[in-house]
Amino acid sequence: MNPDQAFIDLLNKHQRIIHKVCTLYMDNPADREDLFQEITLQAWKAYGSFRGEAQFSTWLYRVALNTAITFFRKDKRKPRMVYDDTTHERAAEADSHIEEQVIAMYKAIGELSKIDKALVMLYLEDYSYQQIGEMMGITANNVAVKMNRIKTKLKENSKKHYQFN
Amino acid sequence: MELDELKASLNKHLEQPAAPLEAWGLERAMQGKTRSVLSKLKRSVWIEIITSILFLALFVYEAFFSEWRVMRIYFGTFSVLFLIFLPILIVLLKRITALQGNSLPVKSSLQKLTAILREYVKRYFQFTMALIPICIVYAGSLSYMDDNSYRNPQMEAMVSNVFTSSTQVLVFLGVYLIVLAAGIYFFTKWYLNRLYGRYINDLEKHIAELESAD
Repeated sequence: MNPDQAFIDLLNKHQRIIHKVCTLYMDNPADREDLFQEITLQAWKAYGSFRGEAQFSTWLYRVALNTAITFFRKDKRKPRMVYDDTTHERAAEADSHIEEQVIAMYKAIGELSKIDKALVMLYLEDYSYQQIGEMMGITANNVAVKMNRIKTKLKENSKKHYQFN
Repeated sequence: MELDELKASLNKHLEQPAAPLEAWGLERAMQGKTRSVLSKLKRSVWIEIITSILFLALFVYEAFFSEWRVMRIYFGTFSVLFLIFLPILIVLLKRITALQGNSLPVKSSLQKLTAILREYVKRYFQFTMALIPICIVYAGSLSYMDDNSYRNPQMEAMVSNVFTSSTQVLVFLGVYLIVLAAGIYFFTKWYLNRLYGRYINDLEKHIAELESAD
């Protein structure tokens, strides 16, 4: 496989998207590496279908989320959580009220289903419901309904995690 | 606390690669081997196509040039079976390749992947089930159609020692065939379910979740 430079450059520029998806979907560093590699390879395979009609970041999100949702792990180690030791260390260093809230929210997001995680990720990127709907293949109304439910769920669950901390 | 309140902080944290990933370059990632189910399936289908072509060549040769008539009929039947399944495998391979090279919306992608996996499982099952009558019943009856070149006097003597009447032989053969066919049927089902069953169920759950309007 000899990827062309244009693809490498684009991917380098938008690498944060892949990191984001890996962090959100995999709790274990080894699994993150696997998913990182898988997304990169799948993006390269699908690069021929990128016509430039959409932004590269939107296209990459679609590939990355499709890969993450259908990614098959060799074993089922433990439930996926976006929160890990690294985040914990960061929080300890910062030792702030906000950091603790962020960690609590991380934990709550980690408990969501794969589909809900994808919705949250796109929502955090400030995509409109219409755009999220197009990427996910559902209507904007459906996205709105789901996001309302997710927000309520995250509020409740993050509160629990925050109290526990 | 609300999701919107923490949007900026969450984004900042999510974008930071975890320590091991920092050493992970894109170049290294590009040199790796894909682990996706679709890629594995594609490899399997390729192997099956190549094997089918090789066996088909062998079967066609036997169907035309075998010394015995029953062998010609037997391998001719196998050739037809392989000729039916070969285009199905090629179509499946094309569908897998098309899906791999696409960046469809999540729901369409999940639906297409599920359809491909279901199709593969269905065809694999059909092929295995088609082999049961051909390999057992058909082959057995063919051997009686020909002359006595296949008769084994030693085996016949042994059978007549165990069974006192031809009815007993027929009952034994009937039970044997039913048990064998049922065994193959259930084993194939179990094997395919173990290979893809849980994965297909997971994909269908994701599709249902996307479709539900809550």
